[in-house]
Amino acid sequence: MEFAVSIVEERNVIDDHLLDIIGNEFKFSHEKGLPEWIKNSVDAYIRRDPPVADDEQYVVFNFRDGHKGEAPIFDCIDFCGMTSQEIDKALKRWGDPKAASRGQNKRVFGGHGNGGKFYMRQMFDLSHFITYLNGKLNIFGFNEHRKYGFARSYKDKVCSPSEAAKLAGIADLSLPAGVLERILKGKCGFTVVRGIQPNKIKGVIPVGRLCEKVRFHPQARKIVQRKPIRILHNGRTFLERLEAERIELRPGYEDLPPVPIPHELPYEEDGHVDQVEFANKKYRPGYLNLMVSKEPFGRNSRISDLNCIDILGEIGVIASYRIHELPQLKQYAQAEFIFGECYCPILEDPDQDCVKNDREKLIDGPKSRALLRWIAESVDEIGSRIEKEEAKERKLQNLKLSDVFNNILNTWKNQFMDKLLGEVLGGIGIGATTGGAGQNGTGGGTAARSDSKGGSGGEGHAKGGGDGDQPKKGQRHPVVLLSSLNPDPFGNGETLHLSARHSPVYQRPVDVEHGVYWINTSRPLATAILERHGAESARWREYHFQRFVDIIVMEALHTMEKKGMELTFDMVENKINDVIKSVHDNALQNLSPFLL
Amino acid sequence: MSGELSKEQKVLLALYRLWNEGRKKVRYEDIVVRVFGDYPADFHLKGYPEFPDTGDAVHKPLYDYRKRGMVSASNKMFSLTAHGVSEAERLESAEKGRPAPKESRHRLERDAQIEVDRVKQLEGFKLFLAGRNEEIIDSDLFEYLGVSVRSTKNDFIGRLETMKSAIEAVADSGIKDPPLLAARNFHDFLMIRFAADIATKLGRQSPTSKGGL
Repeated sequence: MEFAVSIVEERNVIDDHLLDIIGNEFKFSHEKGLPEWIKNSVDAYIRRDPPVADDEQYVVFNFRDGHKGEAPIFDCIDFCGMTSQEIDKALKRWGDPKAASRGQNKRVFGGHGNGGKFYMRQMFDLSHFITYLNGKLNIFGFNEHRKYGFARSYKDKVCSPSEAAKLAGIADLSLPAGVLERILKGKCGFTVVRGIQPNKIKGVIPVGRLCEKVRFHPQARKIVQRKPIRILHNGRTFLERLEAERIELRPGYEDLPPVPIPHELPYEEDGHVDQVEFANKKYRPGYLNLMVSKEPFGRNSRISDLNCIDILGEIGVIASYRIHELPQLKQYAQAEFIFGECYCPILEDPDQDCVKNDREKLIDGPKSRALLRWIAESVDEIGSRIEKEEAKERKLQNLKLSDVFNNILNTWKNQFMDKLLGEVLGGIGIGATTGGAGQNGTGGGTAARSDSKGGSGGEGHAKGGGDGDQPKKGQRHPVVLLSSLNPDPFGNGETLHLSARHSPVYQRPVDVEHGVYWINTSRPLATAILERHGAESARWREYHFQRFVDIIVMEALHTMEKKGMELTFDMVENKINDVIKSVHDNALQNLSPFLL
Repeated sequence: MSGELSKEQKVLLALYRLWNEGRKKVRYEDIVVRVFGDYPADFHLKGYPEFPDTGDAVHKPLYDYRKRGMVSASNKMFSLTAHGVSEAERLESAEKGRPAPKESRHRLERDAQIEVDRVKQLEGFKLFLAGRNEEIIDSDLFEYLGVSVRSTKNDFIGRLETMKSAIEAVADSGIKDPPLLAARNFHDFLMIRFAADIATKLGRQSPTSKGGL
């Protein structure tokens, strides 16, 4: 017969060796450990009541080089202080997620209450806190055996603020203005986290390199942006303030307005769409601030970690997503320029808490998914804008290359067009309706046609007259220009932009008068060829050449009309064929290097 | 209208009669001969009643009608537009003493109807109906008028008059058909939006005529 067993619960007995096992798994480096100290310092400010403003949450690092037998020392100083009770109830505890908040209902940076302590234990020969609050000094830390405890005679040692500051070695440091006075007047305490003989460092501490790594670290960079972190080297100011990486913004995107988060966002699952609330009486609406870097962050660059959207709650970063982690993002390439932050306080609503302890990502659920999807759409909108600009820039570069070929085609056309039209249309060239002029004539009248008197002077070889580069009325050879590139001869020096709806070859009334044609580079086919094949491709040159053929055919038709030729369909068809044949034959002879 | 037509109207009628014989393009000389044959007292050479006047008595009315959008001309070949046919039919009725066919309200004249039907098919008009006015370009003006940017000043004027006349006919008809009313608005929109281009084509050079976007 089985007998019932009832276990009497006891406290776990854990050998300290477990700490070595866990600690070793952390594989700490200083750039990973220092942010843990920063977070602990900031959490100390967060726990303060009344709250301390961001720009007064001072954290000071003092790196002291080792020399003449003295070990290098790292100090991390905040101006809050702890009591022995806090040390007993929170600091001593390993793996307690409530340790950082000390049981308060406040959001803090600390996660599972391990990071800072493990850094001290694993990465220094000796380490301890020197903390002073309410007239009592406590020193608590790890000895050479990695065992922790209070320093003998330094638990709740009553001393004056000045004695405490002197003992902690901060009295003569270059501290932020007013801080030492506040300590001395008993208005605040302080904590110095001290690590002696840091692992892998002997003699001179590479302060610059450490700072560079810390400011990029995901766990520190937002704090670095918002909190004043001062760096001292051997007691002297090394950096007045550790600055976050400054990203040069893309021109035209310097002042993107915040995008308000709608009060409700749709969330779709299995074809069913729900509306998820993002603001109510208790939680005000949030917003998304997007920024666009001048250069792409890249996937593996020094600053690629900054290519992200940080989700902000009331206190700070509550999650962070690399841009490519956003769901259903479309503009991947352009998103590599984008970064930002999304302030969304309702995510911290305790009734539907979306914040994880580690603050890396939001807790997965309809609310977080709806928000991330909306952020992705907003990023895509900016991405689309960037893409259009990039396409425009590429097109401009392509058109600049096309300009050379355009000049060649203009020259080619001018060399044979008179002869061609003369031959194909029956021996009478341009400007021959009732007069006109020969090659070196003085130019015909300005009116191309006269309706009531049987025609007027045709288009002569008008030389002289006109100013600068402006085409002259009645000039013999048409001038072919590229839209969105060549300056408008009748404008203020800017080019003429045409729409995709304008015809491939375009003229305004003023262009007709002066014999100017525009090749519309905004036509969808033109754009597609340039985008896919570039301006130096045979395809684009073929397209470009064909527009010249169009223009020559049009000129031929107009000449036929001016000559009073009967424009029956048969006549037009035959003449168009004749013109095209001649143009192609001539092109084969003279444009082969460019077209073939 | 009384039965007596002006000399100008008689020229149009002569062209109409030739057009009615199936000649869509009529030589100037044929018009001269026809109008002299129909109205010898009005169109003989001065001092020679047995010879036709080949000068301005015929020439000028034709080009005046061209400017009014009733006649099209190219290299001294003339034809009637729908508007011209409509006018000529009215003149013929008047000459025969019949009352001119009175267009009742709520029905468009045939030539106006042709123009409006054409306008309804235009891409520019469809964009206008869709409220996408910013996409309407100068080429839509020329397409609306049924001319090209190269059309002569007189052809341009003629088509402009024709479209004005068609739009006025729409207004006079009292028809409340939304597309018709939209066509009127489209006309007004084009006249304002492309006033500079119109001025250029009319020979009143406008420095603000820029074209493009």
